[in-house]
Amino acid sequence: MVLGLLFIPLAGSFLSMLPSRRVVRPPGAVDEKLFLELCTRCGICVDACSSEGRGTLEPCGILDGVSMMGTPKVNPLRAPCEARYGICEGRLPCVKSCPTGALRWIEPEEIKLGSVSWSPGRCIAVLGGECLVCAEVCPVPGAITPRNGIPVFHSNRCVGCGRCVYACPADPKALILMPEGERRHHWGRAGFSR
Amino acid sequence: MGSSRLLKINLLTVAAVIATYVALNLSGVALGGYCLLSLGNMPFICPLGFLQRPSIVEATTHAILIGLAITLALIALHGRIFCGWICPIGLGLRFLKHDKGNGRGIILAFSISLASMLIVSWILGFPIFCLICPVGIVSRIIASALTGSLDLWSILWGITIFAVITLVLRIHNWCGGVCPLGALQALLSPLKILRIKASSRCTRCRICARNCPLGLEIHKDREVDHMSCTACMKCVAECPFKALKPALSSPLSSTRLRN
Repeated sequence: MVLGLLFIPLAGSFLSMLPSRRVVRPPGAVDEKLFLELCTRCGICVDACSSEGRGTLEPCGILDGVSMMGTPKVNPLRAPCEARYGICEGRLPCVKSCPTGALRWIEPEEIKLGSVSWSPGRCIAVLGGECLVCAEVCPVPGAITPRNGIPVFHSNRCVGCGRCVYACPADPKALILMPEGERRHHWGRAGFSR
Repeated sequence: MGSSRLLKINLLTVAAVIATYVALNLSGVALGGYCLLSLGNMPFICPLGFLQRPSIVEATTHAILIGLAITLALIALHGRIFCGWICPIGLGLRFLKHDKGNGRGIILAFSISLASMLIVSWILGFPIFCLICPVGIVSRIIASALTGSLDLWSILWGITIFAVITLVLRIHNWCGGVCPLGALQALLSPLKILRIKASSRCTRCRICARNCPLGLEIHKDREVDHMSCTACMKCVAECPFKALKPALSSPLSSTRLRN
């Protein structure tokens, strides 16, 4: 009985402190710690993304971390995020569907989900092929600029939509979407700010 | 109606709820699952999920509070029906007989379990029970399956949680003292209207108590036993004198059903 009563506080606090992967959150997500509290893992944003958006969102699995399981992540291998320069711009189905405020409204020009990380060793252009697919699909002016047939990435301009990752023809992909530089809502005494 | 028939009905109700929830999601009529079901634009959040997340009050609209009030009112009226007929872990109670239960002990253990879990959650700022919640795990596995992102490890994790609850902690301990979901429903249910009542045919043979998975002495009509009762109907099925039956009866009304 005593074991039973201690089980939840002990196991719960232990599991909540296990390390987890950093994932790319949907647009308008609050700070990670608050996000993990507010998100009920209901999956409604993922549903909204697949029915009204392109379906880039998926629930995290156990491999992303026990505390992450069920929370939404942007997976550009499924589809790019259309929140900026795409079909979701200005309407954000994921944000509008979130019932708990873990995702909050964000203006299109403020969206930055993260940035892409480039592995030159896998890049077709670096390996001698002729490929600038990433630069062609990138909707952000000046985020990917070709130089001598090789793409140059400017992570400060990148909005993290993942179009280049989705389109990259290399196998394995030469690009990974990372949360580096992401813009999140911060919780303050005066409510939310960015 | 025997206990094995009740088990089949319970299997059907558990499966039917899951099937309904998948169908609602696929048709877009409602989204979400056990943890939060959004019907139209009305969110119905799990009360325990809500309590573990105090920031929700500031972070979202009043709709969530209205949905919560409706859910709490339903629980207050019906008690632990969720445990007895919808919860996938609660199914395990069908295989148990337990003679040493005690309504008072169950309510005390439930109170301690719920309070300690909530306090640790608030201190850590993290909903710790949601990590272990077997209902939530089923919900998450279904949500992942619906989007085609279910991996083997998440299924194994779910099986581990179920194994720990059923084999290590034992189901009668879990459902009768540990599970905060059961605790919340039990503590909210002093006013519930659907109760198992003993008629004058009752001979106090205690066969009902011996067959009750939680060992409740429901024939004695004690409030603590009614609060812990999951309305599994096993006692009703096993009573040799057909003296027990579910009745609509409010503890507030002076006329208690006793025919």
